[in-house]
Amino acid sequence: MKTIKKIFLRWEWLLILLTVGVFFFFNDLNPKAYTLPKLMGQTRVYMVDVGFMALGALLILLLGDIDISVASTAGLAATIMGITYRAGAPFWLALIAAVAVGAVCGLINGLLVTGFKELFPMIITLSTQTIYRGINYIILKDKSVGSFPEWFGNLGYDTVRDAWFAEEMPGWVAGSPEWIQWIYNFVGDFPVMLLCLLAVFPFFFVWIHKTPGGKRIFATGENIVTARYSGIRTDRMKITLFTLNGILAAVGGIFLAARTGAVKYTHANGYEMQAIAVAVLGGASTAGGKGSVVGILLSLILMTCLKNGLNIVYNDSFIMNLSVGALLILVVLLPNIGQYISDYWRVLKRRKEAAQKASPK
Amino acid sequence: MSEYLLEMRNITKIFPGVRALDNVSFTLKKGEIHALMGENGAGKSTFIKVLTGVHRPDGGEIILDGKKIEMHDPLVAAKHGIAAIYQHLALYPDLTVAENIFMGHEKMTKMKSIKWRETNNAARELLDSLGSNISPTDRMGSLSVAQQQLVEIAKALSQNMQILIMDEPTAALSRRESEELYAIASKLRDRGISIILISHRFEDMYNLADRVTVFRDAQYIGTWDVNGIDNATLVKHMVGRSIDQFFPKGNAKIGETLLEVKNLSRTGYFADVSFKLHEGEILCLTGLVGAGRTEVVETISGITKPTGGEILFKGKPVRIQSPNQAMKMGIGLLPEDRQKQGLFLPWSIMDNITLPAIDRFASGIFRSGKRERAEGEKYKDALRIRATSVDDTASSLSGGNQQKVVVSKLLSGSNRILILDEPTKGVDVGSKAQIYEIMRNLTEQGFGILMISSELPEVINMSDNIVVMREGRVSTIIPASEATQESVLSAGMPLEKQA
Repeated sequence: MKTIKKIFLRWEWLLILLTVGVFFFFNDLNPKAYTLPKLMGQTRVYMVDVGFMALGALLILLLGDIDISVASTAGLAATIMGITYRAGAPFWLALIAAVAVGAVCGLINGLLVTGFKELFPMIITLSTQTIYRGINYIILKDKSVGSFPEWFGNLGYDTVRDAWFAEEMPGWVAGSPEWIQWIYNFVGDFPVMLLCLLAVFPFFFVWIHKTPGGKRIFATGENIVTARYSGIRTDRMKITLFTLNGILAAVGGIFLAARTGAVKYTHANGYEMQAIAVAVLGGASTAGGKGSVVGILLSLILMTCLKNGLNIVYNDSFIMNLSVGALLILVVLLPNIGQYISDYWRVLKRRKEAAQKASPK
Repeated sequence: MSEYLLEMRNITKIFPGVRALDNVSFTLKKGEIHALMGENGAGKSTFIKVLTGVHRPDGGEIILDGKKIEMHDPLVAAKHGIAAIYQHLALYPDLTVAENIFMGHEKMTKMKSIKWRETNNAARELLDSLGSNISPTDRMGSLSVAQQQLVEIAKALSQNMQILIMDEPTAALSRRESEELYAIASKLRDRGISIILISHRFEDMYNLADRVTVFRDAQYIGTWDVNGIDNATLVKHMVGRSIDQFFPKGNAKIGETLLEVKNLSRTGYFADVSFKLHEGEILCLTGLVGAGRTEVVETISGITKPTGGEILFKGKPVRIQSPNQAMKMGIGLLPEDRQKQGLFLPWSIMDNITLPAIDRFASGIFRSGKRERAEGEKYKDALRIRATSVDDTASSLSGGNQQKVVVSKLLSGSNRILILDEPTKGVDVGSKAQIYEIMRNLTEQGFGILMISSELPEVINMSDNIVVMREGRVSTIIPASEATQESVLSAGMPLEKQA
């Protein structure tokens, strides 16, 4: 009974419920523009690049830290990719350079955070944020760098249908029942970019939730002193995770570049807050030690449904941001309100019992 | 007019899920010191919170000076002259002593500016009356814990206190400071102030109290004159069963040297510390709080680095850089503050116990919930941790049971040397006896135990050898069989204070 209750009280159900609600709300308002296949296409804009950074944000939030330099890291990585390719290097080398830059940026954050424990990670990454962005500007000034290989540009737009399916529906599908055709079309609508993001999730899920190493991350975020006394190398873990966070930021920056086709020094501006918002909505706590990979995925889906809906209805980015902010604070406060109400009821019930016990005398 | 200043009748308090006080009664005479004793979770703290208006009782009445009063707010308690000082002091460290004393009832002019001279003089008078020479203009944070307690008492006096509640006042004090506190408490009693004393130390009770009341499992057990009840009976009332052998006898064989420390130093904390720990031995590190004991074991277990000297592990010199490395060698530390350093409070018992050696329970790269549960169950049974299941959170346990979880963490690894920093601090009598028993069992299996303790009966009865520290240096090493409370005590006293 207790375990069943636990399963149903999970945060993830709330996210699913909200997503379904949001979907049908906007679908009802605008049945033509707001459909599942169209939403699928919009995941390129609202889900993929943020998704990689949100996974990174989850790692950092689990530790109880915060990193607001990821957008600058993503930008710098994409810029390095662009200028390496422009300088004549093969594109695979440019990609490696970009990831390496991300790793170095993350490593620097990790070293600073563990080296200067008296400084808040917020302050440290606030300064590296401006430094990384500054370097980016020195390299690019107000010009942009682009003209990537064709396949890279296609990566930003192709769906599974464009990339792998034949022009016409194959005979065995056309001859099958309707639901198989539906699945065929559904899979066909997947952007290739989205597949890349989804491919990463199982690895993170297993690592964070199913291995001893994952448990140690939760331990470090829950109470770093106890974790260290329990034999966890907390500094090394932080440096590693900050580095990995930098790599994920770089990957996000690369996918964003595939979609935009060119990189300016403002590349990925503002993505750090989006990533943190997704992670917090997904159940990660800024106090550390709480969060889940499934929560991140569901939170990304919810954000996509909501943002796209708002965009269609209002076509105004300010209203979109305002609504997302309101949702965030509401959802994050919800468990506190729920706890308050349930405690109040329990005490009231007990008091009644006690009064009944005392009265017969 | 009844003979009692305060009567609390049939107090009941209910929290979600538990009945924290069940028809509890308590009486307090004018000018008496009344000890309130019981194991952790017996309801003492809740009782105090009802008396000070922090919690509202769900049943019963409070009668003060013959009049029934409604105690629904801490301000009401303050108005009636009821004040409490807690183990964890609630002070403003960056304000001055005088500011702390008059916080909330400042002496002000009509223009609402503070009359500084008057404030400081009044503070001076209050402190003088307690026989203290703390300056009213000192910063609170610069005072020792004992001095801060004194300021708390002065603060209570400034508000016409008639009942003072002291919650574990000696827990963080050295022996000498405790004695000073006893003197102050007696002085207050002679002035006609009634004191409710809560303490795990029998010593405090015998030194001070006139009467003693025992709670157990949220219920009132009885009230006795301190002179009219012997210790064994009192313990039996507190625990609910008799404890025949409080300090179990050990018959472990002392084997080879496990750990040797040679001239170990850390500038500013301790210097030239040398001792040896053998298989099957309990070596006790004692001395006053602040003599450098905790710092020594923190260095041995890799939390801080030494500036000189060496550590030999089984005869070989080693450099221990982190707790991780210490644990790999088999050295486990039970830290002084179990809640902040030993436990993940929101985690389950099982998750707490398995964390240090969590790799051992994995199959392949995956964690195995089944094996982790088995390990948790094993220690829950072996150490008799009182909980409904291993899924209970650590925060839901009593102090003694929390301590057993931390001990389980050490045992779940492959440690052979256990360093226990004040293992029975804030632990109730029943669990204390169990922890002693566990220590004896471990030494019989060949473990070496290095224990820090300030409680002299524990030091003398549990250890094989005693290292006494004084001001960062080893004062003397005595075999426990030759030690007396007096010899250990005097070896730990600062030099200039002896004469």
